[in-house]
Amino acid sequence: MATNIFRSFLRPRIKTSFFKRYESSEKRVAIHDPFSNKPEKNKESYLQVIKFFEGRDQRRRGHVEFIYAALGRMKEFGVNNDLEAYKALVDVLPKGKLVPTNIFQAEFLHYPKHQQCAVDLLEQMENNGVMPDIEMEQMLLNTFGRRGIPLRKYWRMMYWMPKFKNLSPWYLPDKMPDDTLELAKLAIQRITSVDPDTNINLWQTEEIEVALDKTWIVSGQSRIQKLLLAEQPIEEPLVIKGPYYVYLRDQSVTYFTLLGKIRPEPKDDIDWDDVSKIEKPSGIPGFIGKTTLPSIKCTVHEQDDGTILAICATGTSSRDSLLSWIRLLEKHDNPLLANIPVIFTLLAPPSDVSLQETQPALQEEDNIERAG
Amino acid sequence: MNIARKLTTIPYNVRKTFYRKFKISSINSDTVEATQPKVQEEKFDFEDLKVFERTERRSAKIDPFMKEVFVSKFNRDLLAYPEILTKDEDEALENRISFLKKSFSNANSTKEERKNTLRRASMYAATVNLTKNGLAANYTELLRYLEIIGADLELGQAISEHWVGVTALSQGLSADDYTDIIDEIVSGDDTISICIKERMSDRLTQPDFRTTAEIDEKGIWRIHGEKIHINKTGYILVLAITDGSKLKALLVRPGAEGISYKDNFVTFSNTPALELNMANEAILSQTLGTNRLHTATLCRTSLQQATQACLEYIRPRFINGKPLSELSTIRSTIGEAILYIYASESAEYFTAGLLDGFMDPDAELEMAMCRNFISHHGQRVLLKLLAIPGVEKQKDCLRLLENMRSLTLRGENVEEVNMFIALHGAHHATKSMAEEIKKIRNPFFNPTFVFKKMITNRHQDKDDPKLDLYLSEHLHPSLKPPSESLEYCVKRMRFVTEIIMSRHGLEVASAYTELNRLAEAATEILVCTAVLARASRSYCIGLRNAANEMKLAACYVEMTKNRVKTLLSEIIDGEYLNLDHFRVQFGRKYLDTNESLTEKPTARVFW
Amino acid sequence: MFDYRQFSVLRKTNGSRPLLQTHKHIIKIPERFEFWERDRKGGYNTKIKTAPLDNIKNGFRELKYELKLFANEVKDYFTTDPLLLARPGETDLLWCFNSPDVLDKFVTTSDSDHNEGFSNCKLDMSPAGRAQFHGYLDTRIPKDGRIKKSGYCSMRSKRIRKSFKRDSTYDWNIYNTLVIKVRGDGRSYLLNISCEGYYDLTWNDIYHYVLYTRGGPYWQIAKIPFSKFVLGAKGRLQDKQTRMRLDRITHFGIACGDRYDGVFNLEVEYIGLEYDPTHDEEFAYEMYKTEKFIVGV
Repeated sequence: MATNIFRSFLRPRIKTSFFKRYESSEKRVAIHDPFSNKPEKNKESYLQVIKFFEGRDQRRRGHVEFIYAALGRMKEFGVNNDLEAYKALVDVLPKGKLVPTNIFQAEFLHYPKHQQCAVDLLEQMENNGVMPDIEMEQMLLNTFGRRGIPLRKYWRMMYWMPKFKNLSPWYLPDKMPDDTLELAKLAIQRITSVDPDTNINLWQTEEIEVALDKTWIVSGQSRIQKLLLAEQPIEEPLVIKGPYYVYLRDQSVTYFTLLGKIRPEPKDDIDWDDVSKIEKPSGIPGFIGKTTLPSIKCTVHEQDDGTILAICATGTSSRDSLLSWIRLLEKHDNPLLANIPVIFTLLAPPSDVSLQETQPALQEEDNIERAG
Repeated sequence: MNIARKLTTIPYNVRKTFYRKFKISSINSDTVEATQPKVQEEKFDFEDLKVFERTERRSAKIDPFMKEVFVSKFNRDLLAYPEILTKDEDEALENRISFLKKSFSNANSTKEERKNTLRRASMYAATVNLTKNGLAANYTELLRYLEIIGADLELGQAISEHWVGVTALSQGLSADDYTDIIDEIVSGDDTISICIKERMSDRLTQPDFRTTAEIDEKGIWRIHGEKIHINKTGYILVLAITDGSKLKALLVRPGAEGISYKDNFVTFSNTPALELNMANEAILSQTLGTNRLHTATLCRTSLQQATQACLEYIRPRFINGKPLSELSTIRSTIGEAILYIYASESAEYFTAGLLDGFMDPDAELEMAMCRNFISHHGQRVLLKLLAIPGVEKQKDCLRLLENMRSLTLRGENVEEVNMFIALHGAHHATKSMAEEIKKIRNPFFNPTFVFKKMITNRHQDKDDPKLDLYLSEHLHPSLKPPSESLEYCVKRMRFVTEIIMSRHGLEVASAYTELNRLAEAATEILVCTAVLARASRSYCIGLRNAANEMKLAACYVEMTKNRVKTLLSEIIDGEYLNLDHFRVQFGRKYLDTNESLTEKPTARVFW
Repeated sequence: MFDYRQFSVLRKTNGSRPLLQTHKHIIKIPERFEFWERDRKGGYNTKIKTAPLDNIKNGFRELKYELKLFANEVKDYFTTDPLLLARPGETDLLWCFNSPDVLDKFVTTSDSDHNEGFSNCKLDMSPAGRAQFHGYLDTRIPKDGRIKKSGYCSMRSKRIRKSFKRDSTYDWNIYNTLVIKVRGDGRSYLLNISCEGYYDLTWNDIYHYVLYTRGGPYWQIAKIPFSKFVLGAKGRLQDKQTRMRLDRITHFGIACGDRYDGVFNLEVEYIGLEYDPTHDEEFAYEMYKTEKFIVGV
């Protein structure tokens, strides 16, 4: 109770005495934000702002706050992956002044706020995966001296980041393409890297006359998959499952799979210890191999929940583009597709407006005409 | 060690001589039988007294030689090099050979002339029985003929296949069919060639061997399929599958319908053929295996030709003021070539002796080994030899290289033959070792057995087996050290076979690298045996240049002992220590991805 | 009078000065204790309060089960049948996710549990019959000024216990590779092996490594040797790195925190261990000698 009263007359007093001098109808403080004034948000304008700041005041007052603000605005200017922008920001810090000159200064974190600011800058670089270079080390050395914390952080970055950069077994270029077609190609390449024999084809749905959607289709199928498809019994339908997502760095691509029948694993009760059953090799010169067909389940495409026969990514991911995909597959060396029924099991596609379903489509029979 | 052996053998020798002196008769002495002259009946064909069948002089059946070596059992009697031919046969042989030589050693004679010579010497009917106007040549004689005919490689290949084909016919067809055909075939206009190998399948669901044969309504067999076929001849002996998985050999006459040639392939579509109904797989593999022996001879002849050509190049040339033939590098290369030629020759005649000297011979392994030996080493030595003339004799070098290459790849490559040798040997070894292997593979269930094995194998583990075969007793005493090397190799074989089988069990057929090494080691053992036997025999009976042979033999055995030792110890080490595993993994990584395994040396991560 | 905000559990451990606590509009940023770790869970303790009578009743129920476990342990101690060596090329499975009861051995956490973010995750059985760790990763920062970065989801195994609730550790000395068969979506996940020790200095020791997934419908088997795992504490990689102590492992977990917004989906078939005789690397990260007081300070 008493504290409430105390609170109530302490606060207004501070308020009224402060603002009495500047009474105006507008009681807000105006902030000058150099970043928001730029009409075009790109790297050039970003660097321009930094240069302007550097040139404006000889003493560069408030440069720490400026660096923090600039770090926060990097994303909208699109420079958060750009090493030059970070270097320009480190350049803002004054050289030589922040270097400690004796052992006490070095030990007690000389100019802590600046050091923390530089560490935060390096931390943002690390989070965005930008690798610093030797010039950056020189700049930090000149700014903070040998014993500075940012330099230590830099050394740590340069030890760990190169070790972790190329660990991924699937190569992705540093600069991802923006075009969805290129992304889809990369995605399908990545998915089908299991089988090095895969051919990845780019087809347009215009090749099929009855297609409604006009889009591109990237399809991956290897020769072994063609053979497995040719062995599919006609009564068992093929299933198209999707859409699944695959991430390439930060972009995701939707893809669909064509599944065939589940092939059982071969069971054998051979006693591996009994060597008296070694087959006698035929002595006929030139006679190699077996005269019988190979046994079942020997490729990587045969899995527990079906045999994967082909993968595709389409421009619109709609039901119609998938139909065109089936027809294009049939055109390219898969004659059996004309006779086999195909089931589409699509989850409700999020961006497909041409469908008028009210519930998510889980299982629907969709027989392609059994024309010869 | 030697002192102990000397001490222990002295009383043995004393006992033996003592026993011999005081024995009633010496019939029971084990080495005596082999040297007794054989008395055999001579068969007469009363229709024509002049022509009678060749006498059957073969001794009783023996265990297969190399197969027993896989379990370290060595048939010491075979160290007496086989002597097959009688005096008359030898004279006839020499006559024919000098007749053939006249046309074959002449570099200018044309193919037609040579074919005529062959016809006149009835070479095309060499394997046919005497009653059918053939020569009934046995393997040793065939080898001698082939050496001469091999001067023209194409003819040599053709005639060797022809011989094999005729033998197959004689064993496969019934007597009437045989008599019908044989006269046409031996006339020499159309020879038989053998088509077995097919193209590698490029579809997952195809079986590897695709030629099929069906019998149609009229009772004629029809063939469908495609084969690799290099020289185009008249009659073709084709191997096809009938009824699912049974193999049959069929003879296609010249000019039959449905044959088309393209590059190195021949396609059959509905071709009528004559079936060899008496020949099952075992007989076929025996007869067709002799093809390998002939390939070995042809390879050796080709190597000899290369050596000759090198010699002619070297003789008139000088370097640095001295004649080229005084350079030690050239001398050593030629010497190495001579070594391998000598070794291969001994092995081939040894195998031919095995085939000719005993009833029901089982020498498939030996024939395959001969072929492998010379193909493997021949290529290597040929390259070294051809480095001497270098690019000055481009055309000749290319021709010689191409000859050797097509010979070594004739029908199959070295790895396939190695696999055949090793699996055959393993199959034979399992007859005696299956129970033991089972126990070794389950050590915790059979602890006493494992301990016993550890004690009995203690010498082998230290790589110092007890040499108790005493092979040197069957050879000239100067060959004692090489014979001990040979004994070491033979003694190790059983241990290594045991190791391979206990390591892999039933899936031993997939341990390619280890089986390869085992087969190579066994091949070297055969060649060492042949070389030592031949040298010892020639020195003992006083052949010309016998002292050279002794030196050649000793040098060769010492050279290969180290090689065999490394091969066998690599098998024992296992896939990690002999680095097989890593090679396989690197190859697999490269095959599984399309990209290269490493980055370029100038790649950088940061600047 | 004092209004404890229920979501800000951290305040309970840090609040000591009464004056500032009364100002509701001032949010106190929690200070970092660098002297010693007060709490094993780092302040994220969510203990459920139960009445003492219930505790006694539950205790008696557990007693029977624990006694049985203890009897088994004594029997094992006397039979002494340890696994002396692992056969190369054979994977010994730790967890094989083909039935739902294995999922009980794992706990899922995400940043939304303590109101520090908006991601959510779930661990259940997939339609293909395997465990599926899926959810939505959201890097939006809740606007209450306490959190700078957000966006993580993880699943972690529960601590194994001996009888009578004594904590024990995994002993993986005979192995040198971790094998995990997954079907991912192209994102990279972090494998965390936690080696909590007895002293508070090591309470947050976690060895990390990245699991890159191919994406797509094909299963992938990832074999990661233990020599490649990196030591980190509370998310920061330490300067002085050592090889993992394989007999002191307490938890294993998989986390998703790769800073990209979106749905994530990881299907795991099994997690196992293997001994690879060709891998004789002790530790993958080399240590350099630097000036004094720079590294590890």
